[in-house]
Amino acid sequence: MLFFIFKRIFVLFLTVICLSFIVFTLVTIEPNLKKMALNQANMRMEEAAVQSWLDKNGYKRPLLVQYGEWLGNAVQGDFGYSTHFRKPVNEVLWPKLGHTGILMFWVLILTVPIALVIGVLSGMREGTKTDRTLSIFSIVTTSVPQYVSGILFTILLSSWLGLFKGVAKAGNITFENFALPVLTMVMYDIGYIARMTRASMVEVMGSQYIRTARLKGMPFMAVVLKHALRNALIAPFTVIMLQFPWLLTGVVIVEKLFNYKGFGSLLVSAADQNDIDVTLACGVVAVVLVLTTQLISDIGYVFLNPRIRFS
Amino acid sequence: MESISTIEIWQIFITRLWPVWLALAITFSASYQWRTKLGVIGRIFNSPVGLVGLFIVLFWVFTAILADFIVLFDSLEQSGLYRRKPPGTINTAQGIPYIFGTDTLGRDLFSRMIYGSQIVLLIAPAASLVAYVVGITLGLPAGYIGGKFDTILSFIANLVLAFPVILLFYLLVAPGIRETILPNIMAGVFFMFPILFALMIVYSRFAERLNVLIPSSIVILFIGVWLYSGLVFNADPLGLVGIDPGELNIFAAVVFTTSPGVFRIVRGLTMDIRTRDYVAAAVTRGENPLFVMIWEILPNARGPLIVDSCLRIGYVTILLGTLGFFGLGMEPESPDWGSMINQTRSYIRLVPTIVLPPTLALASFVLGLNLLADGLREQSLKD
Amino acid sequence: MSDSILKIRDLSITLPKNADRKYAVETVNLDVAKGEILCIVGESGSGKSVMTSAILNDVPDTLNITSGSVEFDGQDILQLSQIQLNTLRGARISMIYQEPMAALNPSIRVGKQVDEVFALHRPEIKPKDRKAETLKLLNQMKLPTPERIYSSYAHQVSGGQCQRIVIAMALACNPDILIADEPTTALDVTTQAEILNLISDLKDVYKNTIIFITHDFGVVTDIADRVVVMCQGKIIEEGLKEEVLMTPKEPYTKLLVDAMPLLETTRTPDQSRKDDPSVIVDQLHKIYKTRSGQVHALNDASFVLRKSETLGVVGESGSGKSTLAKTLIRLEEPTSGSVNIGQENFLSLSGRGLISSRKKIQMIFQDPFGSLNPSQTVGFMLMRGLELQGINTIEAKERALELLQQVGLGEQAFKRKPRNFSGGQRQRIGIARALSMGPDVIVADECVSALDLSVQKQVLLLLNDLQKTYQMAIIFITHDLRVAAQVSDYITVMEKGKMVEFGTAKDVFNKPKHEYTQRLLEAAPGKDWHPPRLSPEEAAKIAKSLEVSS
Repeated sequence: MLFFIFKRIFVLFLTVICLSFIVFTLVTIEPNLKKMALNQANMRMEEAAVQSWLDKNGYKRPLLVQYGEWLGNAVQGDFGYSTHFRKPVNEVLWPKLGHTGILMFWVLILTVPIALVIGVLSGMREGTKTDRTLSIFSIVTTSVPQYVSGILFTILLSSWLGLFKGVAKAGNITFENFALPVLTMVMYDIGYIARMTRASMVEVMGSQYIRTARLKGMPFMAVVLKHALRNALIAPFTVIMLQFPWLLTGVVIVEKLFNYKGFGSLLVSAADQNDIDVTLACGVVAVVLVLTTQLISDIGYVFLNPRIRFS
Repeated sequence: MESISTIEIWQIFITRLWPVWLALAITFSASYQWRTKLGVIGRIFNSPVGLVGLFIVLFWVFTAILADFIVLFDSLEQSGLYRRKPPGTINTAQGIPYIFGTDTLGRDLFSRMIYGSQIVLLIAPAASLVAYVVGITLGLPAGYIGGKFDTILSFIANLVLAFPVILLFYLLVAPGIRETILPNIMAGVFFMFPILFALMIVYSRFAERLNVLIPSSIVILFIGVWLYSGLVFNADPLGLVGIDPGELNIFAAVVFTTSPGVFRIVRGLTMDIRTRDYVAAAVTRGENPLFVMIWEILPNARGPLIVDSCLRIGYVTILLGTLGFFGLGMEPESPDWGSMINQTRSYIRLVPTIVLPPTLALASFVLGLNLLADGLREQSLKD
Repeated sequence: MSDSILKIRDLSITLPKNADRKYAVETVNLDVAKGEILCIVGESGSGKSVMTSAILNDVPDTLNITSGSVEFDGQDILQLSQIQLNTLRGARISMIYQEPMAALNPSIRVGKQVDEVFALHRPEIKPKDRKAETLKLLNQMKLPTPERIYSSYAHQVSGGQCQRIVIAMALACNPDILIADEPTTALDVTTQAEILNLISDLKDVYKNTIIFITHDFGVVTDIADRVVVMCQGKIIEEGLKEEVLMTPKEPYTKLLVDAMPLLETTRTPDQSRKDDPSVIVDQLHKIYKTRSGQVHALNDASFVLRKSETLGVVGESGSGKSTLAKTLIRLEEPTSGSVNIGQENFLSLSGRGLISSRKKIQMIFQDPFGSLNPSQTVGFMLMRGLELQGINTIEAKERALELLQQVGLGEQAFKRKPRNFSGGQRQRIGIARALSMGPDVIVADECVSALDLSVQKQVLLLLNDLQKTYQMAIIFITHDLRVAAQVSDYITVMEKGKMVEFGTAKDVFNKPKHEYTQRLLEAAPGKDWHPPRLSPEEAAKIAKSLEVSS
């Protein structure tokens, strides 16, 4: 078991290095460098001036040397300097990550219970009206991406009914502020998790041991709560953990939509202006988060499954 | 400004779409007649959910095909006078109403929405198809043979899937990249797969019968090289096939992000199916691994893959919309739905409906695909 | 009937729309006497499981009870409310069924699952006393280490032990009726004998009525008081065991009884043959590496087999017989040893040489529903094998049609896909497919285990006939001694990877040397029963009149 974890952590490091190298390469391609130089110095520079600026700032050195330098600093926790914000990356990155974290917290607190309940209720009695209605609801929500639902909600709740503002200010944790972004993200994420939960529930409810429980004379709800759930919820757990990459994309979209200055906005603006150090740092953080959740998912799957845990 | 009432708006909307209604009626009644011969597709008629999905999808397919007969204005036609006008405003000079209103440059939203469907319905399925070919060509051997090949490919797939998609797009689809040869390299790699796949199919089936193998391989190579040079290098000698470099860029980026997902699914299915007895029977018959993969395993993965393909086209559509939303998509003039959303959303306060046509179009198309996928899944389980 | 504890009257249950017949169970009338063991026999699809499910009003959602009543203790079970039904289930009528490990929740310790029965139906036992009661019960089931088993999960316990736990749950409240739906079919022969003994011992203690479903007449002989025969949803015949089994009245019953293979063999191989053997297996080993060490799945398998001879390989689960099959045919590579087919060392071949030699040894698989590729037509499957040997398309098609005829299927089968065929027909296609390669050796891995009795008999006869025509050597793997007796010249018995006994079929059956063989023969249900036989002409006549297909 321990060996398994170590192996995965090793793969994680390998992935991070590969990924950061690829990003580094792409970020230092000629056109991107030029874009950055123009952004930094003077938007109307001539080609020769661009080249000399790049050279002066060390961007003309061999690729591996530049990368090695970045890697060396990163391992020590120094992610470099943001050319856009003119501050060390660490001063910019972590606070914004915190802002996004709070947003994500609220999203998950709402998404997970709602999605699980929907999935269990529809999978419990397959084919009934409840099941059909909830299933269609789930399908509809997965069809509406955040930039669609966010806009629709804004029109409905903000413009029409005047309930909320169309923007969300970072650092301001109020219901009014967060309602729309959280609602938008929750809507889109519920669908997939609910469907996976439903599928798992349907499979479990059709298994032999549920029949045994039923023929022991156990009432239906007791069968569901005592026998079905603990087996049916294993798969959704892993699914929820694996949703992270999509959550990340969603957060980026929502932050742009509602002008929330969190990690997502940072990533986008850095990539847009080719703020190299910030882009790299954001990429690394994102990948580490994704792979960590994958690892938790795998460990959870083994842990929750007695068949695998004690074999 | 003169304008027409809401009822008249919807009247015009429905009547303008008459070619689409006609096409739908013909298609549905024809498939209903022949539904027993159409296999899984025919059984869609047993699932109301699937039927609704199919209706929506075909609606957009026919709209894209018949767009020229439906629209009221040209998609690029700007107007200084009628900027950001609400739905129903009439262009008095031409006597035609802007039934869904106009955008900030005075272009008709209805017509742009209709033309936008062409873009989506061309790129999304095409990109999904190429992603499928890549995913299958790599996923089958990874699942069947396993070993180091599998480990390396799975690592690469996980690498790509762990990448934040937005970052990937900014790096690959940014305007500056278009001038480099990076898009051509990516496209070059991806477009090799269909050729490879076609050759694999032919070889595995006719390996012993050289008299069939050699001519068909030559034909495949011919067509392949022709399409390849046209699409990748824009150097088609016959001048028939070509893509704009901007579109090629987007296409390649989308294929790149979608293939690992398909790879994973195909690999999983292959690992499951290869334990079946009929695969063992083929092996003991002395079939080569290529035959087993393509002719024994792949046809039986058909069901889940068809369902997944509907979902995947929907996902790619959303991805294209995301690209447009971040301004990474097509040129600003193009009526791509995602770009339309991005351009119009700043004016929600002024004219809330300005953002609705592309938004609802995109959502409805993806919804249709998801409903269709659900219906197909229901039916294939009853197999 | 006097003293009936259960009365089923006019019970009809419909199948969903696109099934092959309208009723799963059609106007069934049945009385069950108190304290008896009633055996319900029938082939697959006869409706026996559905009928017994109806006794507890637990038929699947897709089926509909359209008429009838199930009278028990003065009430009609089908009219009871859900709460009343829950009081009945598990307490007065219990059920056990086929797959013991699947019947237990994999995520809850088994002891707790037994406790639950007490919680539901015997409130007078306080929660803290439940464990003690359960342990007492487990002891009664003759489980060796009740404490350890109490805290185990289902997968940590063997199949036989699982079934004992399930029986414990069923008998915990001393029900009036115990319904057992093929409870021993998935178990080994020796385990089956233990469980059957347990059930009848417990019956003496608890004095309950038992309704026992099985397709195995041997089991019926051993334990039944009365027998009911079902076919296509109707009761064909019922009566005392001796009457139904020794002097069946109905043609269908006669056919069924006739299909039961005997525990004796008629084949005598010529042991003095000097011609070249078709296959020589010498010291074949297969060792698997697992997380907890090594498993010696196949330990020193050696034998020689000549043309037209059949070797029956008999063993229980874990005996290594499937490993033997897979390594012979090189679906898995053996760890050491040699296999000579004809003159070649089959194991040393690789690449092109291997591919061209593979045709000499072919396999027939167990599961008729998994052994044919659902997306290919029968014609394609057969022709593919022939094409691989270099035969051109026209000749290949002719040969394929010829093969179809030889296995008893018509020309129309050529264009159709597997889903249009029954289990028996699919096995015939599997045989044709194996023969299409023109093999010298055929490995039949439990190829009739999944078939109904009557179909099984036909397929075995077919195999014997084809062997006379093609003269291939057959290695016939089975867990069923009776089946082995029908086809084998020689028999080897395998236990834990080793061939513990080898000899002619007659010798092994009449004078078994190894104690394991003796145990197997002892455990075979119905070993003292000599079912009445029909002549082949009579059997054919009855089959025709009933339009029984296989």
